[in-house]
Amino acid sequence: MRYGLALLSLVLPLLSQQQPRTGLTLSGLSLRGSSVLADTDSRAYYLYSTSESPGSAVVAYKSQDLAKWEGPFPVFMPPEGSWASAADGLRNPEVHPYRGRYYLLITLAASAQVIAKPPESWRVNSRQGTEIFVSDSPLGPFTAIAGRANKSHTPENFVALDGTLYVEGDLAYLVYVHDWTQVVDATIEAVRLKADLSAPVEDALHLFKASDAPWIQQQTTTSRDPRYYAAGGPFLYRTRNGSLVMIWSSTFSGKSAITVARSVTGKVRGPWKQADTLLRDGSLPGTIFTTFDGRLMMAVHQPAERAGAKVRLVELTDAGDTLRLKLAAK
Amino acid sequence: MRKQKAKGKGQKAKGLSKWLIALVAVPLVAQQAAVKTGMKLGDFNLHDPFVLAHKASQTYYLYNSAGGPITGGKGAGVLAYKSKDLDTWDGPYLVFTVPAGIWANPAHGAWAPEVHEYKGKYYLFVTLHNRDKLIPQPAPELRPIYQKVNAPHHLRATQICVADSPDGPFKVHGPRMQPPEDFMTLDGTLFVENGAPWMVYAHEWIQVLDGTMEAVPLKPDLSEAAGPPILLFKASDAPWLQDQQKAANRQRTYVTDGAQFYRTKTGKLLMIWSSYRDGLYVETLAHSVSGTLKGPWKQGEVLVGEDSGHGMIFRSFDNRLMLILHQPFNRAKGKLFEIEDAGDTVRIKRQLVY
Repeated sequence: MRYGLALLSLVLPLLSQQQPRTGLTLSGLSLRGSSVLADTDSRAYYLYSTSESPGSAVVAYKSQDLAKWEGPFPVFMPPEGSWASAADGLRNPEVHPYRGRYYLLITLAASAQVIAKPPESWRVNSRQGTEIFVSDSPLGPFTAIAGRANKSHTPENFVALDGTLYVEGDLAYLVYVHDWTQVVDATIEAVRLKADLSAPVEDALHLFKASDAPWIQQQTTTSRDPRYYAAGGPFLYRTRNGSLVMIWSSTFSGKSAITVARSVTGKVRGPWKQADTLLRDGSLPGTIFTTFDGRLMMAVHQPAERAGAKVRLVELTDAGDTLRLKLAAK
Repeated sequence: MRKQKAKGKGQKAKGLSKWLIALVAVPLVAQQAAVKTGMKLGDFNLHDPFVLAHKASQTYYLYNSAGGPITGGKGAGVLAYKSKDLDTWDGPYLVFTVPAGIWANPAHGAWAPEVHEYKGKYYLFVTLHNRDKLIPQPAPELRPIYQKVNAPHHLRATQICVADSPDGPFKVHGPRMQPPEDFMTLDGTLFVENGAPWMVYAHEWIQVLDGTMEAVPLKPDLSEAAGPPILLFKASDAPWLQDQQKAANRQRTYVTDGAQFYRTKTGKLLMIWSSYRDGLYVETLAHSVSGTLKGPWKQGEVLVGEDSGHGMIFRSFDNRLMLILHQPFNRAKGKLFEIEDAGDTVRIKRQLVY
């Protein structure tokens, strides 16, 4: 199929209308996703979003001080001949530096490629997963990794999303969400990647399930409504005393909530122990980063259906074995 | 999961019919004609066993669901086997037939009967069904696959019946039992706390995906609910769900079945209940942190695995603590254990009937 051409003709006029502007503020921007990279090499912050919802291109905004932003800069479109369908869009871009280059993790989908349907699955599931692309610059362009197999890095028969990268010693892991639409009770899983991130090297590992969250268990009303458990936005962080923690999100009383988990062993494989929520105000988590003046920040966004989302930066405290919101006076 | 259960129950009825059908001639005398004496527990199929140790007659009543061959072709009912020593049993005796004209369809089965002595009478709790009466349905894509379709939600609940004797005949007591009619529930049991009666029941995973254990307060005469239901816990709370701790591309299924209570000698309130681990049925244990029905309930380890479950705890006339359950899930037989009260939990002491 010629998605590439179709996509170019669709997106380029759109992007060309959006000439990069300067002096933008987060409160004035309507974005999709809240992934911030603090790049020490260029001493600049990059904020990644998709150009529309669900997005046909990934765009970046650049800032020196987190206050004024410049953008959008188009940084990625799916390569021609991709397994994914351009019409199904792009979701939740995240960029990680790794071994001197920059890697974009992006969730792609192909709704026409059904992987399971009733009665073998409880609903129609089609291909969706996170794939990894590479660039020499945080501003892209991100392109296929050499040796790429033209499929998601997450297992092809899993409905997966929101992949993030975590490097443990010499081992790189793709940590992602296995969606509730396939498994009812969403799970956070991981696959170990080849050193060049071109492909997974082993079967998926189960890290935990959304229903493990104690604050989900506190929901104690009886109802005839189906009880399924969503999960989203994992991001891993190693604290100052060496604890491995993860932020992720689920739903509390109908609103998105961001929570923290901690690996008992300090390893990605866990077991993972769940703590209480950080935020219950409908925010979705993006990334955690440290500012150039040493503050620990979490980028979150609050979606508003058609209008996109507002990104907020929430300052965190590294409490050693967990993360807390910093409640210092402004 | 529940497919297995339905299948198991069906097979049970068929199994019984094998040796009963030749003996049953006239429906009205079927129960008398069909009675066998001197049977061992392993001689008859048994699903969801419940024993009433009836002190006045020094007789153990073992209740089970009855199919058409025992009710004389009148659809579902409840039967009892009787024993003086838990070793040999006589039966089956028909104690209840689902009447026509109530909310349930007599042709759609009767599950998990149990009989409780309460205020001088005997109350039968039995799960009935009406597959023709649908309740509000979520979208098909929010219903799990059961028997190869996105299972439609229909009337299913525990009906309370009453009799003056554990031999029956039991008559329907009160209108259709609460919980709310749009809840699809099963396996109701009676729990009395400080004189206040409750029905504790399982809320179908078929409806709520993550099956729950819930409780509804009853009026003192057990005729209907006295308030809204409360949630006790969810099947996904079980810490031993190791098959759910694997990455796999299938729907997770969390089943709650068969709650039964026991208060230990130190006053701790325990519940045994059933679910699945690695595709096999288990009898597992929980305890109430507060010592009261409302919990919170803390989940413990599996008490008996090996495809066993839906059991209940009772005390024998010689004061031994007993656990009866069924195993395996399909073509189940009754298994009897002596257990011990260890103060903060119960433990299996020895298996009496294999």
